[in-house]
Amino acid sequence: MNAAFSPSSPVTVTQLTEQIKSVLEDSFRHVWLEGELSHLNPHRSGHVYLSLKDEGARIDGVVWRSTVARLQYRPDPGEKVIVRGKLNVYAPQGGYKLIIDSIEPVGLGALQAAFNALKAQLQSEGLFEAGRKRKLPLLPRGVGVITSSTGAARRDIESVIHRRCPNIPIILYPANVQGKQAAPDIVAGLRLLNEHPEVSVIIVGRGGGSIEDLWAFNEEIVARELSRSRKPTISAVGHETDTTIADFVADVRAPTPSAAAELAVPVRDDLLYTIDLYCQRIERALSSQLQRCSEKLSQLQLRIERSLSTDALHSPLTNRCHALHSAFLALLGRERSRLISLEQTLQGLSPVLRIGRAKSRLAAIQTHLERLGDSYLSQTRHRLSEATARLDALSPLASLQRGHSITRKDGEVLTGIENLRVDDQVTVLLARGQFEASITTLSEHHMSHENKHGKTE
Amino acid sequence: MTEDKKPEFEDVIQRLENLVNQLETGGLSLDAALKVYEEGVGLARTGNQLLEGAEKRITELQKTLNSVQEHD
Repeated sequence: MNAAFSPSSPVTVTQLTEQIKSVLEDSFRHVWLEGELSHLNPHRSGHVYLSLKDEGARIDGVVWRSTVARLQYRPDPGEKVIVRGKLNVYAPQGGYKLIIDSIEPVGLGALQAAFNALKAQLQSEGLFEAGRKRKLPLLPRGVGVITSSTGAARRDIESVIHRRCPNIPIILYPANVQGKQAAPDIVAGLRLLNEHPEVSVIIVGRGGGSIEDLWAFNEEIVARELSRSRKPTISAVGHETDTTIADFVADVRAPTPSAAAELAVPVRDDLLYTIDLYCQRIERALSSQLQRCSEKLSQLQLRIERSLSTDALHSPLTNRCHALHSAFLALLGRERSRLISLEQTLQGLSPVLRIGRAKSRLAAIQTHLERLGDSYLSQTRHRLSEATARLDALSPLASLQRGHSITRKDGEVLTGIENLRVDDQVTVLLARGQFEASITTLSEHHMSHENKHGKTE
Repeated sequence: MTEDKKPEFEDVIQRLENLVNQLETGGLSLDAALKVYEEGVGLARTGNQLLEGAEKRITELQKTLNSVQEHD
């Protein structure tokens, strides 16, 4: 397959290049290359031309536009990177390039290794165990939040909490959530919020980002502080797919900051409803007990009455029985009125009343609105009819009604006599009907209308 | 820092549930039942109060303890 290299039968440039191309491209189909990014030239076409170098050599490469679009990592010149690609020989220029289809920072492998090592270490210490996880309170006194004071995570958390249960205070510890200061900030926040009397659950989180952006949540000091927290913690780092060490150590892992807020805080109306249901049950139970007592009493009364013979009716025993009976009735009456007043208190607590009040306010506002709408409509109608009247007054038809006429020659409306000759035919339009006329006299002056005769034509 | 005496909502609800069960099971004397009822009404009121409370409030803490983690 190789060309014969001899002076008698030289190969052409193209032939040699083709051989070189097939040799190189076959041997370097899958290349992992580590080096420092030196040149980086994004081309107008969208392709990016770059070169990688080390102390001894340099290789040019290109990232096609379609690949550029899906690169997750955009390196800068000077960075150490690992690229994957295949070698390509470009015959017209006699050069070769690496066609790159992925770029990763060199450090990524190191970060991943650190992550795995810390995860294994903490797991062996039992920090992730389900038994350690604390339950979140049903209704926290306040929610401690550790996140950036300017981030979207903060806004999400606040709006969810306010929607579900508006009276729960939020205690925000503004922290850096990426960069060097992030881990110490989060640790400080956990300590401070643990001491805060109003906080009964703590959310630690931030929005999505690259593995480097989220790195603070993989730091050991953060993991250890989370495990030390006396108050239940919820981690909410990035999106669903991002998992950090903090997620394993926290008592609850939420997929997003909004989800964390939902886990931290119940829906207020649900709880009000629960209380209401309990009240109804307790009331029903007591009422039926009273009912039973009262029935029993009447039965006893009946039995006493029946068992007493007529002659015994006036005995001291009977009197005693009567006294006993009325005392019992009085007791029952007292308890009954106590029950009634308690029932009234209970009804005052019911959300039904509040809902009713809100409804009637809404109805009042609605009526008011409707009234406003009606008066606006009638005003508009009035204005419309005025405008129509004015329009009528200006209309030429109205002029005709007053006795004016419109004279036309060949369809053109005449306002002067410049284009008229004696014997010309004109059409005169009146309010009711029209007639043809011919010109007998023409005179120059305005206001003299006698130049048109012809009424009798 | 003085609000520590506020009961936990969870305890309130649990106790209330407990009282409802006691009353529904029956077997209490009328007087005991009334006491249970009264306590229930009080708990319901407390529960409602815990839910009503002040309107939304956000406290932004100052980063005063930034140096705490130094011995870690």
